[in-house]
Amino acid sequence: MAELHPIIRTDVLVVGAGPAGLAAAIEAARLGVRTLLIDDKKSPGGQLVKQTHMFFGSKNERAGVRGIDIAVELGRELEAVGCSFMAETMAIGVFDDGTVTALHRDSQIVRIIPRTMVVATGAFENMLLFPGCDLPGVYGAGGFQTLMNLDGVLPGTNVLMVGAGNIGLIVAYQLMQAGGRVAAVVEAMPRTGGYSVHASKIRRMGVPLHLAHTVKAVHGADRVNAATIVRLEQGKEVPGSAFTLAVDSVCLSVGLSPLAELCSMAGCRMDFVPALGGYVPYHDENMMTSNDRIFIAGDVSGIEEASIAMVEGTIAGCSAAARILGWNVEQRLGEHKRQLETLRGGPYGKKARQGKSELWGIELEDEPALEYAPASDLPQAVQRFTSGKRLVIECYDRIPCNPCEEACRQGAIRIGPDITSVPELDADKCTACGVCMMRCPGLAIFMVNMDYAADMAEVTIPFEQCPLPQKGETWTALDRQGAVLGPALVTRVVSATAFDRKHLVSFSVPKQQAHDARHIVPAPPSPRLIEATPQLLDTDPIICRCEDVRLSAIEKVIDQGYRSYDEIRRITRAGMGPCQGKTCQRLILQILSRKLGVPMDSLQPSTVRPPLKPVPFDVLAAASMEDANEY
Amino acid sequence: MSTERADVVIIGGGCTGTSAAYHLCAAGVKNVLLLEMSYLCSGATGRCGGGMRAQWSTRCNIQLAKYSLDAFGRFSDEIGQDIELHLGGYLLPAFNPQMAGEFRKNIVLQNALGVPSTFVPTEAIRSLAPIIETDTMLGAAYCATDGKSNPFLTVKGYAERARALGARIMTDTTVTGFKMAHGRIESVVTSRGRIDAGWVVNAAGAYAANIAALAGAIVPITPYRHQALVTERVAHCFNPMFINLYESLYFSQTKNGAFVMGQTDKHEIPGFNYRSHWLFELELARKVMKFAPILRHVRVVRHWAGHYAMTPDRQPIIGPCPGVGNMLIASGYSGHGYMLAPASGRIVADLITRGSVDFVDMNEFSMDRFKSKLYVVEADIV
Repeated sequence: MAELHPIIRTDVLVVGAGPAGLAAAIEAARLGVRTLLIDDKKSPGGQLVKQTHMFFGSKNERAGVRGIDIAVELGRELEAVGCSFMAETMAIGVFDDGTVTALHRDSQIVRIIPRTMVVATGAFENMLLFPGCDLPGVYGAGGFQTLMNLDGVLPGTNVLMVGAGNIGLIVAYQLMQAGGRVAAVVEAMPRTGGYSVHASKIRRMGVPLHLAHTVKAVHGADRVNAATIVRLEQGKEVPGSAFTLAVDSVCLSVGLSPLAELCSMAGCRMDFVPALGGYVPYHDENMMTSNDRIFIAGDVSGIEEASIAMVEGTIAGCSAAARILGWNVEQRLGEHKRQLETLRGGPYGKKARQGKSELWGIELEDEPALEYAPASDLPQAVQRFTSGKRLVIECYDRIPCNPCEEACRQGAIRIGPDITSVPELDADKCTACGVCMMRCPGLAIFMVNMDYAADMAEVTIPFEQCPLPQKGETWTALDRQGAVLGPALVTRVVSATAFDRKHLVSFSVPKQQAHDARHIVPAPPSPRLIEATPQLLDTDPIICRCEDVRLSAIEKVIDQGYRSYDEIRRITRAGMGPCQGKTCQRLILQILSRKLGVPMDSLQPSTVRPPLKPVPFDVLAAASMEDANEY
Repeated sequence: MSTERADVVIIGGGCTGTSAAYHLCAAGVKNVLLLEMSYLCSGATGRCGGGMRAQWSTRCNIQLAKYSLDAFGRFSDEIGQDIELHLGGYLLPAFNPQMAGEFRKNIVLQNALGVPSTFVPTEAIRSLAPIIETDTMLGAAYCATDGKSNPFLTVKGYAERARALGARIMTDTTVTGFKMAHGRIESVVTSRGRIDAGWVVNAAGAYAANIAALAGAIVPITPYRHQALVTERVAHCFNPMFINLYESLYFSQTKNGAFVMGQTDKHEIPGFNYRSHWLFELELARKVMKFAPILRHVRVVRHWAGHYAMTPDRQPIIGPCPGVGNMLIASGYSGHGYMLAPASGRIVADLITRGSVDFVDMNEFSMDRFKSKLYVVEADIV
């Protein structure tokens, strides 16, 4: 295995080759500075490499392209602009002399000496605390997705998804694509946090979506076999509302925390902004932190969509290069800042807008709340036309997205320059060609032909499941809630390379079902809710998995009067293991906040210390100490 | 906060300050108040290696250490807190005849003071610590009654016991000045208000000179950064504390299986510096490969920095602060404050409640020693 040169000097170092880091590296290299991109994985892409769904946004953010393909596209661009990429190289320390230490293939320490740096290290999945949360079978949704889409392993086949943000909804959908079954999705908030088109996709496949519900406990002797769910009112459990489902896995999709360890270690100012996901490095509009040589982009600067991460990456890469070149890049940055503003428009961008305003200490104008109707009300919005063949666009909640408008050659779909506008269909111009159906990332465009036959209508849906229906087969039609409508005769299945692994499936149903039938399955589904008897164990969940510290030990120390994470850490050893508290620090801060009745931002996280990944002595000992005296 | 009053105000919530608080309360002092600028154990105590030895080169250090080791031995009975005490001995290898000679000389003194140290041959090192490469060693000074314990739990034990006996502890409280009158501190000015004080105990460690300066006194205590690291947990394979005075390196295995290691950087410049430097891990790893190559695959988990509070003779300053009538200094332990903490607390309590100390000769710890420049330098520190 070839060894790298032990000391690498570069103009710009970009840490993390996800969408943000790739965009930053491409931009910096394009501006002509020596750029090095490093990532701990074998190939660039970050989370993109497991994102099999199509992206939202506009053409600039590659909307309508699947994440896995965006990774490939960006990788090619990276090569084209002459940026160096160092795979399997993880930044493990950043020091006062500007040195970044990196661990290459777990076997070599490389010292990188950059002039400026872009940190695009993404985020870490949050854990949720409940009895049984440490049982095997409880996964982070992102981890589950990695196992499923990257490693080809299906960790569970009957899964409870906790959290209906975009990640929870998408992973639930992909789980079904992979042949698994989703017992239910629960969401503590009274509405889904993710795009309603994502929610609609799984609802019409029959997945119960319990809003204002959460997981209370997970049961099982040595692994998960059931989960108890309760209804919440104003955040409190409703007595008597508990029910137990038989499941083999529980997937947690309860938010992400920015992974800003490098910035923290570098001494960047860190601010606690809940709307951005927790502690984030302070940054200005040019993505510069309080250290004028360190820039950030993507989830590390606040949890948002990948499309935003790419734009932020471009801004950070541009700023980092301009810092070296001494160029005025305001005009170039201006374009991208406007692009960000557009993407952050609409109801889904509100949280990020609030977060950034808080970070910058500016007042946010009072904005209307989310306007879209809850998913259960969607049918009322449907025009129940009785004749003709028309497209039906079921996209109501101002997602920043416009591929349908781009796709329509007839100009029948109008969104306009503000891509968070809801698409409007001009039925007179529409030729029902179906191109928009295949381009829509939300699978929210359908076609209904009321003139198909005397009593029968033909419905065409975008289809991404296995098995694929064949013409002439009789399947079962489901409505938007996944309820069985009756038999559906498959009339046509159109597949094409241009459809990008999507198919347009047409089936005929009685006319009165045409405006409700939105999915078909090979056979009527068996009842979803399988009640199980809870085996409630007297559980004391492990909080710190590295050091085996349980909840009771943490609570005991708090009861003894200790008031800070650092004290709890030192007394119990929680957070002192190899992961340095990636999972447990947030949990312990939450426990402290709850028990003491103090806000999270009044509690100090621990100092981040090198190395960010454990390194064996022989690897450290083999590292070059050349030029050590220079620093 | 309105003005408070305390018979004794202790500045510093590390091992020395909390030990002083406990010993004062145990001696019957009723109104003891401890001030800590951050949280308990946040300074040098919480960053130290946790070793405890009586193998020193000066009479006074040996006396203090021996007293303290005995106190650590009865800690869980007396204080009611398990401190993960492990008496696995201290092993100080000699790499040349001169070192061996020094060690033998120290052992004579240590034995005379009741410390059962011996000089052992390399075969004995191999049986005491099979993971150590002894090729370059001529033998080692070894004392089976030395050992290690958990500094966090020690501070926790002292603090909780002191609280139970009536002491008050204020964390996140910074001393910003003193109100002086007639060469005495009338009150301590803090970020949370003023405290009228009978006695003030300066147990601020590396910050002791800064605190003394607030009262107009000059105390020769200088902070020097010291870095340390901890590894992942591995099966127990190493009993003693290993101290290599020749290449300035120490390591031991804690109760939970992690190795804690540190070294002195002779190029270190004085001053506060809590930042880690990449070179430390690299240098230390090379030494580990040399002395315990079996650990080659053990992974380093974390690396941090703290401070030694150094004095010119590397011995602590314990006693009155010249020019400040009611300030006692208990700082400047030059890297071995933790292991001396029980004695330090006892001395502070004795000085305040009885005006004298009878279990150790206090002259070598007094500030007066620096006037004469005839002080005895402690040679054996890492």
